[in-house]
Amino acid sequence: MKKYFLISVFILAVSAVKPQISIYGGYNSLFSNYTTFNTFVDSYNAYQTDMLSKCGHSGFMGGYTAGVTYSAMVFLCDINYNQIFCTRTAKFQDGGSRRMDLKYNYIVTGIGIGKQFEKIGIWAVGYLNFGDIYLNSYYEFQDGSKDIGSTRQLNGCYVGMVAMKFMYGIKTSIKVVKNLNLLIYAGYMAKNSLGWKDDYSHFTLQDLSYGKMLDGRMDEIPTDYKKYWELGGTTYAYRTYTDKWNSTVGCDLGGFNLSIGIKWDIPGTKTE
Amino acid sequence: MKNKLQIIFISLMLILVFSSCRKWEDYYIHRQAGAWEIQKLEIFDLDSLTHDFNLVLAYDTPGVVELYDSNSDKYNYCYYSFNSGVKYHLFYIIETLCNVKNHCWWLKDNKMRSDFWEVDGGGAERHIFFSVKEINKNKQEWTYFTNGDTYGLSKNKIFITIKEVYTVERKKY
Repeated sequence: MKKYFLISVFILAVSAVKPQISIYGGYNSLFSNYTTFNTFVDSYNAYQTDMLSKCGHSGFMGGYTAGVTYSAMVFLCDINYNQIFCTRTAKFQDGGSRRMDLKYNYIVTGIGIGKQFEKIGIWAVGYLNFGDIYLNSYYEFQDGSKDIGSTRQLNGCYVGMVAMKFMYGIKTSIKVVKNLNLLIYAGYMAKNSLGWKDDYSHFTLQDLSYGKMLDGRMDEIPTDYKKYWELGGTTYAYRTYTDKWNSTVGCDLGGFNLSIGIKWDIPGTKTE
Repeated sequence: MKNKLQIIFISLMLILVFSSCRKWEDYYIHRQAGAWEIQKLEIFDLDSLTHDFNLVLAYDTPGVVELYDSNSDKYNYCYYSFNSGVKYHLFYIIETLCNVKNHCWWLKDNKMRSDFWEVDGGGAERHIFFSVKEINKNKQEWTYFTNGDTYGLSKNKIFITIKEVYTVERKKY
């Protein structure tokens, strides 16, 4: 439903003005602070005794962005698609490693207020983003073969939905040649989705496989790995049910967002 | 000119947004469906000292696995056939547990994983996960790990990890 709403707002905003249409693409990065994931990592590192190197926090994530902007007078309308990812690895003495591929695919739409001058344009922007966070967790043996099956507790393909996160920042466009511009966005991505403390603002990462729950495994990632290992998946889930948002890894991925790319102003679209 | 461009870009955006609504399960199942010829099946056990896998058994072109897209995210039909000399293969487990022969269900919800399953006599679902490595569009490696010497083949009885690697190619018929 939110997609239809956002698209309607966007189209109405576009039709109300005579805009300059531009398309852009470039490198996207997030200096992330992913609290529940980092809590899990800390408890996982603390519990393992045969590690050669510890698993890292979510930290820096890189990827790409591509989108369209419409600007007219002091307004900017923007919609873009983004993907950022990183891999975190813990190495063990037997030559194997636990690998966690983290990826966030999201769509962003929003508006900005600012001004396009002759050579430079600058806008203060506010966005809403929605998408899915994916986490593939698997064990890699010394010979490179990957085990994502049911032999190990943490193995799985986890996914969590981001309902609607707020982002805000500054977007700057610097003219390079006639219709080509350097585009820089710097801003902040909120960690939690908008809304009150309800299910929609606190989705957790879940392995949706039909076979994951066999043998008392949990289909989520525990933030207290020691407790999870000692109690077992079923008991852990039961005992922490009332504090689910803190006891499992959620979708609270956020942080400082920086993207740099090239913007092309489509000739003939500007009326001013 | 301007109006045409606006219409084109708004249409492109709508296509982008609505195509992102497609369920990943449908995408992966549609992409994975087909007749896969097993070119090679290799069974390894793990050496607990060196942590290397040792080849225990290998078959050349032991059989075929046919994966049907039944427009379901769970109930997609799988038919498999192995040569008579091939006694040891993953589906043996499903056959033993669920009392079926040459068929089971399959699904795929992620690029890295494929799930074969069937219901046993007690009504419980038995799932077996493959780790999938795409070599190219029509060639893959399916790897299955088990903590236990399912077939009693392991030379190293101390350790308990068996790895089966299926090198498969999609047939164009």
